[in-house]
Amino acid sequence: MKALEAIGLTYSYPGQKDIALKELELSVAQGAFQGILGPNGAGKTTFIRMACSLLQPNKGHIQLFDKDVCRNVVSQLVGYAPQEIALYNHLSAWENLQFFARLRPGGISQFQENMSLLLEKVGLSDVAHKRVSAFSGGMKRRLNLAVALLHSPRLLILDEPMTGVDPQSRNRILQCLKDFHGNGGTILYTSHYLHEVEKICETIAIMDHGKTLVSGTLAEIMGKKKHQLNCSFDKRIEDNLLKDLKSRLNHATIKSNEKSLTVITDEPDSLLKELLPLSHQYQLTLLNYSDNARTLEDRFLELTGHSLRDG
Amino acid sequence: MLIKEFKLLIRDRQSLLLLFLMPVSLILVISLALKDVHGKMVSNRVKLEIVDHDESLLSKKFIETLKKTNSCRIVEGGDERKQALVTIKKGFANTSSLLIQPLALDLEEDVMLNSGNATMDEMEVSENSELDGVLVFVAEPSLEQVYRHLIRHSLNTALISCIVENELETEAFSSDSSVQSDLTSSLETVIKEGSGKRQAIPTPLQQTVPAWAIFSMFFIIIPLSNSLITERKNSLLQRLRTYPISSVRIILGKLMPYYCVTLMQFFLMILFGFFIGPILGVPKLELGAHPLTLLPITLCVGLTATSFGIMIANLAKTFEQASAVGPFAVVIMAMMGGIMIPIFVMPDFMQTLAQVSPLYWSLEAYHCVFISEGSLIDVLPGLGVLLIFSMIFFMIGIVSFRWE
Repeated sequence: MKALEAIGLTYSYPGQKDIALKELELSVAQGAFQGILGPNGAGKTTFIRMACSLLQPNKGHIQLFDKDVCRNVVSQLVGYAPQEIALYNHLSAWENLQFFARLRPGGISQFQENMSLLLEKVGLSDVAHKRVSAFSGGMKRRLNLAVALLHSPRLLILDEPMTGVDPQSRNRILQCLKDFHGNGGTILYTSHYLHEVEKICETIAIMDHGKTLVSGTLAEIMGKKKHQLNCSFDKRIEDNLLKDLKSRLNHATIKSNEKSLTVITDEPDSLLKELLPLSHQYQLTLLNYSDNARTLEDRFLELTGHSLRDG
Repeated sequence: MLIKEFKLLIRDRQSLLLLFLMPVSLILVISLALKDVHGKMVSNRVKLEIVDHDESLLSKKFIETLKKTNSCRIVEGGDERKQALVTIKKGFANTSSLLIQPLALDLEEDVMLNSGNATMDEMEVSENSELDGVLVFVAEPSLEQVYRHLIRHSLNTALISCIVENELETEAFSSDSSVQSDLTSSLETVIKEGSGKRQAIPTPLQQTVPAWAIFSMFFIIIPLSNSLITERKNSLLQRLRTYPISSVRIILGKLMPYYCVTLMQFFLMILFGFFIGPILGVPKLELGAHPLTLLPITLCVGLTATSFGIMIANLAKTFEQASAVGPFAVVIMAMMGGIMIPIFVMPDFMQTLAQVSPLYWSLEAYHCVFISEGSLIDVLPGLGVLLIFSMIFFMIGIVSFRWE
């Protein structure tokens, strides 16, 4: 059974020309720790809001645990922590949990034990009766997560849960997520912190322009091309050299910029073997050469481009 | 939901302070400012000039009776600047219409007041005036409505007293059954108006407490919209949407504590008028003959105010919008509704337009109890209008509710 399955999701915000989601497809297995990456405006938050039944798609559909998404399904199965700290500042941590527990069937009595346990887990037991307005950013984030976990959901949807969090709070949040995941829970996690996603998520989807560009395990996303070779020369690289090199290294991705060359390949030795005679032929001197292991960030930039996304 | 909202409201001390301090300050300052006006009235400082063209026994008796009412300072034919003028035309004692149309003077006064922005001098009524009737009452437009009511009431009382006394002496009408019947009917009307609803001089607090309490009750829009917009901005409503809770429940949960605050605001103002006012030298607040009627009125006014707040909070996209548009709308409605500017000084079309302001109906209802000693039945139509306003505001609030 899939925890989440999005098929052909299309959505435009009213009054806006740009399409927020274009035929988006994504499948999250039950028990997965799924990361969603994408630059600003990629459609991550729109997708999450759709998964939480906060938005209805113009086209396509989305299912949670084989049930079409609706408020009823979401309220039972999903724990949602929005990007903003969605807490009442004038209430204490305990009162916040009490309030959200009261809204659930069964009321406070059913969640009393869980409330204490969660406060313990997120490290807020000592300040349970302190007002949230007196909390640091990290404490608020931890409580934000605790509220999402209160009713022991099957799917936890987190939108940028680490924004403005200190390393100690981050560790505590990660520990909570690992515990939840360890107990069979499914996590859908969006973040700008690529290193963090790379570290904690089992599967990752990279989104841009409202589409899923790539999805799978880290190894699947990175592909075979694990080396990024950077070379710099004393003169501008001629187009003919580039053409010759591309014809000799069929499986490599080659990009040039004036005097520098970037080659992404799974066979680093073959580059030198081909490049050295060619540089001699074109009277170029190789000044620098480095072989770097590719990171998720390299792959992310390769897929989404280097242009700024301020809009 | 309710517990949370009450806790949030109680802990937001700044908003609470604003909600209770504002009406107290307004009432205190304005009551103290009006204290002297009240003092003048008590010592009969409102001048009523009487010009007697009839100079009959009856007209003299009428003037003497009027003096005994002690409602104003009566000047006979002097040249002092007048605030009100009564002209007794020739034929006052002989006109049979006088016997059956004592209320005609109301009509004549309106005719004069509606003749434009004429000053008292321009409105001097002479013996040859085109106005019908034998007794003409003209008041300066700036003379407050309540004082005009008072003078009119005194004129009615004196007139009836004279007519009855005169007719008892002459028994002239006893054989004419139709005239007798008309007179009886007119007297009943006049007596009912004159004694059933006492036209007392309102104390400063009777004027300021309802007016500024209503004004402050409508200012509930600021903390209410702040609270709802903050929840929307912080994605709390978004989070709540993933809970089994309806938007109506959220709105009602938001409305109730603020509704209670509006009720508390009014009754605190009543207590202020009762206990603090006299300490500060302002005459004690008199609640009229039916003080319990204040409860349903306040329930309706509070509901209208909070529903209006719900509507503003949902229509506004940001707190800045709500805090600019909301108070602006309240001030305009207060001006239109007679809170800041008395209705009677407004032109006709503005007096009609005033009825689109819920604050007008609120003030009318309170004045009916405080000044005219009205009962629940008297204020019911006004309360009905307020409930319609509440329903419209609330429905707009529900329809325009946004989770994010």
